Amino acid sequence: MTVTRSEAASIRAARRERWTHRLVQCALHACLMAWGALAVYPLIWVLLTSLKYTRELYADPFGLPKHWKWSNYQEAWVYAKMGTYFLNSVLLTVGSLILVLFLASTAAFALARFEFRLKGLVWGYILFGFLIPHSILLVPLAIFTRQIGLYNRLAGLALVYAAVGIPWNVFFLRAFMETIPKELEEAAIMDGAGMWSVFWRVILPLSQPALATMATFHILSAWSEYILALVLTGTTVSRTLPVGISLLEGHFTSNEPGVAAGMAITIVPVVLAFAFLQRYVIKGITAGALKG
Amino acid sequence: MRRGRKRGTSWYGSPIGIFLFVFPAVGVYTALMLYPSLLSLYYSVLQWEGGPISAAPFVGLANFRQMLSDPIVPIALLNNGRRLFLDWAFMLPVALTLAFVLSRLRHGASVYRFVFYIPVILPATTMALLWRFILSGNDYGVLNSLLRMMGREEWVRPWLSGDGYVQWSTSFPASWQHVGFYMVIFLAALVGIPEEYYEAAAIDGASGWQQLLHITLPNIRGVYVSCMILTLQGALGAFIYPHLMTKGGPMHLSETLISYSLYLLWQKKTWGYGSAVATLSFLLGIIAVALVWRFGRQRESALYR
Repeated sequence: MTVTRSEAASIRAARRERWTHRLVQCALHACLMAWGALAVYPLIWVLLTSLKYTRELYADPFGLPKHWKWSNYQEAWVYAKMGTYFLNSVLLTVGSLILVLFLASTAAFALARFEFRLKGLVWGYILFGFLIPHSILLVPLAIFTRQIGLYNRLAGLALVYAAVGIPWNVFFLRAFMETIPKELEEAAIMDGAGMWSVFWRVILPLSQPALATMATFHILSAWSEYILALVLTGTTVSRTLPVGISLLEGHFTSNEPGVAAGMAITIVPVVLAFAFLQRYVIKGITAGALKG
Repeated sequence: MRRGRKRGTSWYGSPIGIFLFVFPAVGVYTALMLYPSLLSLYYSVLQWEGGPISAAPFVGLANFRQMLSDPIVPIALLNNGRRLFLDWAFMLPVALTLAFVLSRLRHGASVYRFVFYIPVILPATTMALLWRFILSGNDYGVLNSLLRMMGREEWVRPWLSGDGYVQWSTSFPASWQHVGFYMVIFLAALVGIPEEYYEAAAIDGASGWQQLLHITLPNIRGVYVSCMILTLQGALGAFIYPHLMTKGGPMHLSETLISYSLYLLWQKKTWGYGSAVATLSFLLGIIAVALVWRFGRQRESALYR
């Protein structure tokens, strides 16, 4: 077999093209890794710093800790009360999640499936909530929750989180429920099911993908929410991690590793939650992007 | 569900049934979101500096007139503008670039997407502390000690206390944090562009740049504009980094509208005036959305003509 000159040239060209393609891919990966390093380095820095002695932090802010000082976590958890704040954050996140999903899905069901007078008005009324920034609610809520005995109580804060989550959740869940075929519930109605059992046994199970997406967004935002929690709580019994973090420095003057341990206690659960739930985040944003 | 069966079809879709389903959500939303927001509008026309609200006199638009002569309000507005500038000039372009590269990648796109999104989910309160560690002017300020280590003593700056620096160093962290969010939006839009467009262009001999310019960018313009609107609302509501990094200081230099209203409300206890400043931000947001909406509708009708 002889290879003609032009064939050899084309093989060389193809090879060169493959190489440039590989080089480009390598360069792209290098750039992406650099940005990725920037994105996760703060996290790693917090974890490393949380295990250092204060002296070591000043001497070598970027290196690995030489002697791992696990007691920083004990100090943060017990003395700085991060343990209590952690429990409060968990209770608040779970409680407000159940509340908002229940409230939003019942309303979304009625709006997706029935015609009634004032339906357009109710819809617009709920969507108006998109325009209301949390910051204008602070003073009225601080006064109002005191009047109705919900100030400085996790239950009150959970209700507020549910309330501010309603517009977005109703919007998303209604859009999803409208895509569920009506035949399924018609069969249930023929069997004599009432409104509640159609909702509870047919619509809710079928809405599971949308509920999971909304739950994920709610968990991530409730865990991080700061300003409402700051204004509506007054003492340790109901403070959450983000509020506790902002108060940490008072507890630890010149013990930055202790503060870093508190930050790690706040950050690690949410990163783990995101690792497990990320496909719902991607799905939710993608659905939003394609509509917008 | 025996009871459900008994009531059965007669209740199904009846006004009372619908009311029972809609009311809990509307009630909670009204009590804890809509009603408080109206109260806030009401507070902003009172002269109320602590004490019982019944004793606070109605002063009409005096609080809003006072804003015109308050030197901190324009400073704060300018800082909201800085955040918007960083979002538009830094955050969105970076997010689009990353999304574009990820969409052209053979392997590993989902891993990068996961990593790039991590800053978005980190609680801003912890990030604010971290940025303070980084930018602090004290001995442990990470950036300054890094500059000293590199032998660049002359680049050391008072990032959190110097006029001209603090305004940017309290605006930048929020823009940096949200790159991943907009990247995922752009990525979804880019993946939505049919591959055939690119294939056809490649057959016609269009280079990578030409494809980017004539296929990619025109196809995601709508999404890009939506993102600009989102950042507009984000920039108007910005407060958490200035509030937690510098308390809006020094001398209110890094204040945004909302962080200034927090200062007025909780430090100075001027609840009427503080509410008015927060209301200004709320109204500006509504005006911005209304303008964009109107503008968008005009564009659409021009399209159909």
